[in-house]
Amino acid sequence: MTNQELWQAVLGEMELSISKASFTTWFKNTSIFGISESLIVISVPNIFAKEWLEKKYREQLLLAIQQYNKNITSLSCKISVIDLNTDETQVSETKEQVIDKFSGAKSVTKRKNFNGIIPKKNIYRSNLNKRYTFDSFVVGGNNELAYAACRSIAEAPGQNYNPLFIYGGVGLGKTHLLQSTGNYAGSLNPDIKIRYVSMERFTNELVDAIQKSRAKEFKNDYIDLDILILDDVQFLAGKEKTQEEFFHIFESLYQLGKQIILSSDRAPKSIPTIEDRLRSRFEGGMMADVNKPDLETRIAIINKKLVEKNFSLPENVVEYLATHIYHNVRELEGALNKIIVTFQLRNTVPTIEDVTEMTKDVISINRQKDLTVDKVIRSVGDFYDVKLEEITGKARQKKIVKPRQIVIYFLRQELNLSFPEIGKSLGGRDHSTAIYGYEKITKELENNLLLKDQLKFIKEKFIEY
Amino acid sequence: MKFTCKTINLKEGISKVERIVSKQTTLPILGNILISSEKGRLVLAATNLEIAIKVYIGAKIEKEGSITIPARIIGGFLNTIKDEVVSGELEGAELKITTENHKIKIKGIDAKDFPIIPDVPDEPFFSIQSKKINKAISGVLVSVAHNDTRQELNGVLMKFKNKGITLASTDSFRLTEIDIKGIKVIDETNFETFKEKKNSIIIPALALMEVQRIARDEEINVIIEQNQLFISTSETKIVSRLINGNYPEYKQVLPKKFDIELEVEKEKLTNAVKIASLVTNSQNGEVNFKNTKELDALLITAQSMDSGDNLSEIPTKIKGSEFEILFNCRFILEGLASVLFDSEKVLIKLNKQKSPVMFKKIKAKGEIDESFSYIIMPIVKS
Repeated sequence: MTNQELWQAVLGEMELSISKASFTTWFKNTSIFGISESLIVISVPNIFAKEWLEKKYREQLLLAIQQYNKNITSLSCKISVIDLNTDETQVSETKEQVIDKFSGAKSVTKRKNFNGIIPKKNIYRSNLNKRYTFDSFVVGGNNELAYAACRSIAEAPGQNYNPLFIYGGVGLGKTHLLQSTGNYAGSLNPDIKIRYVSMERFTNELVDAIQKSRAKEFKNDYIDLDILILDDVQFLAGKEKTQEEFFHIFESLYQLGKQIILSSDRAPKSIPTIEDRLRSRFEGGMMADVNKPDLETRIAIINKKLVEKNFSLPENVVEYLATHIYHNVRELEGALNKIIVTFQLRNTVPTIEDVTEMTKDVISINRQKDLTVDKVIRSVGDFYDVKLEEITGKARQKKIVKPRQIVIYFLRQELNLSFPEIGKSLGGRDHSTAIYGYEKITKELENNLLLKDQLKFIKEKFIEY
Repeated sequence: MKFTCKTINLKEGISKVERIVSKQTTLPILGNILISSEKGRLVLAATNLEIAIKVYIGAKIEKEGSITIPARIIGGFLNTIKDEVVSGELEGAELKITTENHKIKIKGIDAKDFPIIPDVPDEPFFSIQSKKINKAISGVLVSVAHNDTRQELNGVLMKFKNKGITLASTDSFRLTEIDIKGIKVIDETNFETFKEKKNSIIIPALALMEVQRIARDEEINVIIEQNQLFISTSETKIVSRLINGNYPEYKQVLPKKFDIELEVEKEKLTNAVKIASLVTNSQNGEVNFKNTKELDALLITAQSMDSGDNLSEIPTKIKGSEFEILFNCRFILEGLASVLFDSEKVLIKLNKQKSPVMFKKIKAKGEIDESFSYIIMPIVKS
């Protein structure tokens, strides 16, 4: 058992016994620094974590450690330096560059950017995580188009599809695609200026810039880019000032023929409260959606992951995972990691029973076994901002009728209720009302893409209720 | 816990610690202030897990104990009341505070969940007069970078020299360097061993701001241990993490010699640049410095399409040759106001080619004050 595995196992145990907030606060960025006979040294990021672990969690930690290593009887912590840049090669490059620029600071070209004391160029790659590459991305029918578009953009930014708008549900690889595009473009052309930023961070930076009255510098920083990659643009919804600033940055970059890549969890027209001029610009380039992977792709993902981790699973286990976890690739990876870690520790081959047991919490959510009439009504109601009583009530305004019909549709489609049952659960309505509602929505879905999108979105939210 | 103390004391104490109270919501207790009794005094503490402050205030302690309460509530309460004396009493998980006219019960979180604030080691490396360091801190804070991706630049470099320290900061457009002489070394052996390993540290700007806020006219003790900076005065203790990394070797960028030198009165220079800043374009805030043909005056001009243009003339003796150079007016004004603030006259040293420009204080007797340097990169138009 390596130190890393030991620590993973200990963390797993600690996580169960303390609150999530405490766990992330005190155990984030910790690892085993070393073990010598009876002493274990844990590396922690700051002095507060050191004090806390040594004074409050000592006994508990030692007990957990002793399950795996009986010899250890004492524990101490060491504050270690964690480089914020996860990518080591990049760090060393940065330092070299700084030195380079220093010795060459006298040359005219380098002072041109009014930035002679320390060069600023390398900040443009700072948000990209080198872990994400196209090579590790599994292409299937669900994401082919998005993948091809990203690749072609990385090869010739600003020329083919601008802006590129990628949308799809959580955990389906949007971020992976965006990051890979940035990394690949960077590897093809080392001088290119790329920035990857999430909408949330963009907003925070903007607010900060406005507070420090540096809004102009902020904007200039962005306009200077060759490729701007923005993740999770749906967070723009309702932020008027950010939309405004973003619009100007978008326009400037677009005019200059610079590449813009955007991602969101839904199509532009389903993002509520964004300005029309922005919406139309999002739709103006290329839109590609990322869907849930089909069974074959899921199997391919699992196999790729297994090769990466150098671990093997029996075929029926792979198939079980692929058939039962189909909503979200991240969940699939999570379940897989859990299995790999556990069985590497136990050093046995997992059987289908073990895996069923281990993944039952993930899978039950996927099956939506616990989806009830009440949950459907509440999630539809929340989406359309209509109260539960109104849906089951007597009123027949348009504002209420439509959500009611959608509820009917879901009850039929997802819960397989009979029409009389549906009528009954919606405040004692006749079965013909239910049939009419169901058919109306089914028909409308054929032509109304917006509705289709909305329903998909509501459906994804069922899990949260 | 039961205590009674002067409102003003408690208010000052809370205001010293409340600024660093964490806004992050993952651990709600970090939004609280710890109030406890310790050896007949009241202790207030707050932390955001990067920096922690502990303040001791005089109080009459009738019963020992401790609790944490939200900084927002206690701060707001104390800022509002006018009563002279407050007393507090622990009632279960609430702190009841009573004054002559008001009563407030504040719901708290158990003090045992509050992060443990490490004790300041007994023997400091050295101590320094608060007056000296405060002046230097306001100088260096001007040119600290904000939110730069290079962590190092978001802090202030502290270099140890024989019997002194140097503080420096740069946001890559300008640089401040201030020497402080006369530190009082207390624990010589340990300080020397530390200096052998490392002759400089990088301190987060926030920590220095807090030092400046807490220190009255007294000696400040400094010690560095386990990559943490401990600062203490008689009533306050600060623990801050240090920034890891290598500070840029900025000395290499500074010119070894300057061709042109001129002295100007600070007030005249400030006013001229202020006037120029009114008409300059707002993006770069460009202000043009040049000389007259006869080398007997400095001309300061600015213009923009939208606002207009100006010309200010400051008569002075210019040593060297003709020059023309562009600055960002904000950098000049900030430097004059906080680095060179206590000097009547300013010495400007520059080169004909566009290399960094040095600003120095001139003391009353006409000597140059070598301990303060403020350096600006001129704007170069391509």
